[in-house]
Amino acid sequence: MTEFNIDVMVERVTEKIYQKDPTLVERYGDKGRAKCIEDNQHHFKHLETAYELNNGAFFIDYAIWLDGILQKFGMSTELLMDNFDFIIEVLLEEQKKEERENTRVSVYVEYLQQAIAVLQTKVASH
Amino acid sequence: MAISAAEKLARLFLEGNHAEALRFIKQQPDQNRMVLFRDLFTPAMYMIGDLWENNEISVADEHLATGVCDFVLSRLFQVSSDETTRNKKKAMFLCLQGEQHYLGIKMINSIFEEKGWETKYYGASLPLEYALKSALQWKPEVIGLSVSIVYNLPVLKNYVRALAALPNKPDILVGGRLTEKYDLEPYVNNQGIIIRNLQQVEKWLDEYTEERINAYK
Repeated sequence: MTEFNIDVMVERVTEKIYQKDPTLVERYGDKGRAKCIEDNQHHFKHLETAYELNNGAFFIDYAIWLDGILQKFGMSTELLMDNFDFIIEVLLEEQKKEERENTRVSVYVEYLQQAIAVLQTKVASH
Repeated sequence: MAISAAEKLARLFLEGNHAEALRFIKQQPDQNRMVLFRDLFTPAMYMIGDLWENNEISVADEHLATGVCDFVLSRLFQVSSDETTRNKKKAMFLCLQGEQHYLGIKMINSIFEEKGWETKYYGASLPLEYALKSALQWKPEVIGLSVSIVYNLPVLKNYVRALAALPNKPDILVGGRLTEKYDLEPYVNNQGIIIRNLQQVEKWLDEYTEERINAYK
């Protein structure tokens, strides 16, 4: 990923989240948006760390841990799953712009899909 | 409902009550450091971490508690100044770059001191180049590394590789909360020893001393 601009991608992911659920603005205001950006920076940082460590478990455990915390703030697991879906979308959009296939993108997508699957089983068991 | 001793200690830390926290530790029937660290300090700080995660306390509360815990550890377990450092084995302890969770390795440092080692404790986040420089000059037999946050884990490999390659070939110990949950062996590459808890360090130390004695027989 030569020019992998995390800030731009985080911005786009946040846009998508707010487009899908406009009530988030009323519910959480500007502070919520800033928090959303911050959280997504953490998601990317954790993807990067898991990638460097060559072990998706580090990202999946993070997703489970974060979901537990977000629920205490009244956020649903579905919201986090949507968030991860949007990261996948943005990564794939980014991939399209590049000529060569980027292994980092495919690995990130794989970790995100695994995390979504684990969160899905958590939702289903409730 | 009666609260546990560890919970009582956690409350004193959170209140910022240095004097009471000190008194409380001094009142404990078993004054063995390992026992106090294992049964009181560690669970008290884990509780504080959980409270923070559950949004029941703020970052400010957590920092205050850490400060009190740090103070109590320093006050109760200081090395006596008149002890000779001649012929003592040497060990240095540090946290990987970025790592701010230093209380665990501070306790490990204290265990080594109690066992008669001369130690240097470098606290939180020490960049590798400075760790290397200090180790090159001081030539410790043991270098203890601590890492608790996944973000800080990718540099572990470099630390272990570089420090293990020092001319005096120190033993590299790796500890911290991540060692309980994950197999860190791939990042240590057989060049370091993973220590999962306080008891393991004590066991390792006893074996180390025994090997030394046998070597001189």
